[in-house]
Amino acid sequence: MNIRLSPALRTLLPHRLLALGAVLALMLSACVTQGHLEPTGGTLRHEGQAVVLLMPPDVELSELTVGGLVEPNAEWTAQGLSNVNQALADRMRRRKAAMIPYDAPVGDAGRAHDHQQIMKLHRAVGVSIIQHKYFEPLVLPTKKDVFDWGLGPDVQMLREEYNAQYALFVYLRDSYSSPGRVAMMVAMTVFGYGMPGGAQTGFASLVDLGSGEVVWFNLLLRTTGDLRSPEPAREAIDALLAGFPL
Amino acid sequence: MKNIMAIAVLATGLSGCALPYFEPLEPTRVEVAGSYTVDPQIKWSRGKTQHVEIWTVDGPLLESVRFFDARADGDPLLVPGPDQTLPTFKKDMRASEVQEFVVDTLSASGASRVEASNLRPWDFGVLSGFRFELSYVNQDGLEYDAFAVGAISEEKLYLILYAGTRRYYYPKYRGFAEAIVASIQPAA
Amino acid sequence: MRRLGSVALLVLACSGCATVGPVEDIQPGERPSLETDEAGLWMYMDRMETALATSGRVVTDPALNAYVRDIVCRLSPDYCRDIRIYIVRTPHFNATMAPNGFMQVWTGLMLRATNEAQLAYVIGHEIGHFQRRHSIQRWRDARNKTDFAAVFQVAAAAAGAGYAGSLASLAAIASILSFSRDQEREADDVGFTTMANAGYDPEQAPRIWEALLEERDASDKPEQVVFFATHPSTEERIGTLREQAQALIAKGAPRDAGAEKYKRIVGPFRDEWLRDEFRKREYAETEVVMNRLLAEERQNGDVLFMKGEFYRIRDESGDEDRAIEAYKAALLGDGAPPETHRSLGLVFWDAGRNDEARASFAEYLRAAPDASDRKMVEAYVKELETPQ
Repeated sequence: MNIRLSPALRTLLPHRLLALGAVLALMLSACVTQGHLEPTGGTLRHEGQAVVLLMPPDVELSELTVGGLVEPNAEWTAQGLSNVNQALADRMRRRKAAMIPYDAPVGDAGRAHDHQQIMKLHRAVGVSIIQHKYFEPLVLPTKKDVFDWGLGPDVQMLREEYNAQYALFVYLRDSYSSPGRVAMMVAMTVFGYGMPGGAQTGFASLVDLGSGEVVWFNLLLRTTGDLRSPEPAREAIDALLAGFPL
Repeated sequence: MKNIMAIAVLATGLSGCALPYFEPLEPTRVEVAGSYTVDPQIKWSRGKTQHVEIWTVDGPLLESVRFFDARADGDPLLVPGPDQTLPTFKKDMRASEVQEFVVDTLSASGASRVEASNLRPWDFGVLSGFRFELSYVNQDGLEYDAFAVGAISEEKLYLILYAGTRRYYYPKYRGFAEAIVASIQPAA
Repeated sequence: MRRLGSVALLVLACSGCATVGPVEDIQPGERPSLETDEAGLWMYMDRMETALATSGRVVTDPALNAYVRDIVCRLSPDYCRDIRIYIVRTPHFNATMAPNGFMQVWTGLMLRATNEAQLAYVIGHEIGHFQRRHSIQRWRDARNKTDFAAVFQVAAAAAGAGYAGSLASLAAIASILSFSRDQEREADDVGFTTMANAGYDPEQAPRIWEALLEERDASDKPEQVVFFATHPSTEERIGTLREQAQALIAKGAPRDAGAEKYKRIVGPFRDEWLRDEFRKREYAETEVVMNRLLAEERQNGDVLFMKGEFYRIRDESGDEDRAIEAYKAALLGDGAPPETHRSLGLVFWDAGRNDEARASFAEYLRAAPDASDRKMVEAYVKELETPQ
């Protein structure tokens, strides 16, 4: 069953996550500031070993077809996710921080809803940071010289449930050119036109579960890297976690 | 340019309102919507799109004060997208119908579960106007709270909307937004 | 130009998954194996499903969900456990089926169906898409389509026109949700056979299309509103379905329409969903939908109230009188909400009938003493009492 979709209907199709990946890929060629962000004068304060709650990493690996269609690949994604989780765990272990994975509450609709809203708010904050801090044409005068975004006091419910001081959010998209696409890129170069190949894009943020403050944020935009194998995935996590305060 | 467009589209919780270029706004009395002045209370980032001026501190996806240009008979509140039908203002509307107009406009622009409540008389500067509270979720399912104040004068609608995420951002600037709408004065 | 080495591996990995051709029916409980393009599509749709589930647009009422779920299981006990239903609040006639078993049933469809058999036919049609794996066929087709577009781009670059179109390529992804005409025809067959086998009145299948046709004919923008761009022509399918239904009925097929049960379970949502229709401001088609509902229940106060609301909001010439008439009729029937008085007051006021307006507002305040807009309506009364 399918009617031709009006614009209002298209908004119903939840393409936003995919759209974020696409936008990050576009930003590769735009006027984007690089480097990680943290609040001015912000050294982290916690007693004893830092405990980090790892929110479910949002990872998707795809193939870029000849026509530029992004085709999600389930097998690569499974490998990529496993490599990302392993690399994050190793990294935290090296830094003597404890990392515990997030599990969605089962059988408690109210709590599940609160958690979802926190994650959705984080996505909105992440998008706002990327747009209004990294992307120069849209930098807000009110944010030009400060970095002070947050999620508010509701995150304390995660601190209490997990006994963690911080939450780490990770979003990664990795795409690889298909053989046909590579041939096309070669052909385009011959004619003097660049054509985008695969890209590795994403962002990560560390949130203080006491104050709700985003205490560290980084954006990754590059045309190299490979999450499908453990070593390059480790390198990607190191790049993503540049300047990570733990 | 395409990059900017794509990002702007992504940014807006509601379709049909692309992101403008933002400039600084100091906390000194300023004219808005070409019709009246307000006291901004704090520093804001100020952007103008067709028919609406947006003030935000953290980003329009998180919180914003929106000053709509005076709307005349037959005008929609927002610029409709291609193939999009938006409700239009009618000069003989009463407050109840303006509330309906705002709710239906939000619904038609991608918000869902839009609820209005507590419609009551309210002084919009020197004009006898009205105020109501709103809640809705955006296309990503994120919950927002909002309030609207407005008045109809000489067959034109004046409207200000303050909206923010229910968690954190709406409460964060609500006091300032209240003070702003309480400070409305006719432009000289 | 990255990773030429790994690309060589991809040639091997993908040589078996890019063929376009007929695919087997999906088996109950089957999941595509991880290395296939179909698994990628499922993963993508799983993500879409999660996003939709938390989007705030899904109707969560347990009785309504259980009802639709039971229809799916009655139609297809085999696939019942593979299909997850989401009732999506949106005022358009539609239902969608994703390859991973995630089915959307839009409230605009449930508002337009007048009995269970009509809804069952549409759901059966969607099950047909799932069973026949139409999405993966379509996805492979889309991939080929954009590949063709890219070849065109090289030609354009050679001609000096430059490289453009990565956004256009992305837009093509949206088309994976729309099926081809042949697929729609096939799903129609499955839907009809399935509903008839489950004992539903086969004559109801063409009815839902007839109702849509009526809306399309009334609409100012037929191609945009309810016209099924990818479907076999509605006239053609109505004709086919009628013949098939008559043949089955002649053979003594069961005629269960399930109208009473449908009304009992779906009825409580009707006003809300009808108001969603008003918000589209597509009055011509909404009037057809509303009149069909009215035909069923002429005395129902809240349906008549909604009729008044329709004319008040549309506000064309003559609508004031139509609205007043509908509100008055609503107040004579059963179940008109207190807001009927408020709306009547607004229309009287517009018509300059200030005494009647004031009386209606006062009646509203009596009928709904705790109304959240009480202060505003009190202000209306005061304004109407002030001599002009």
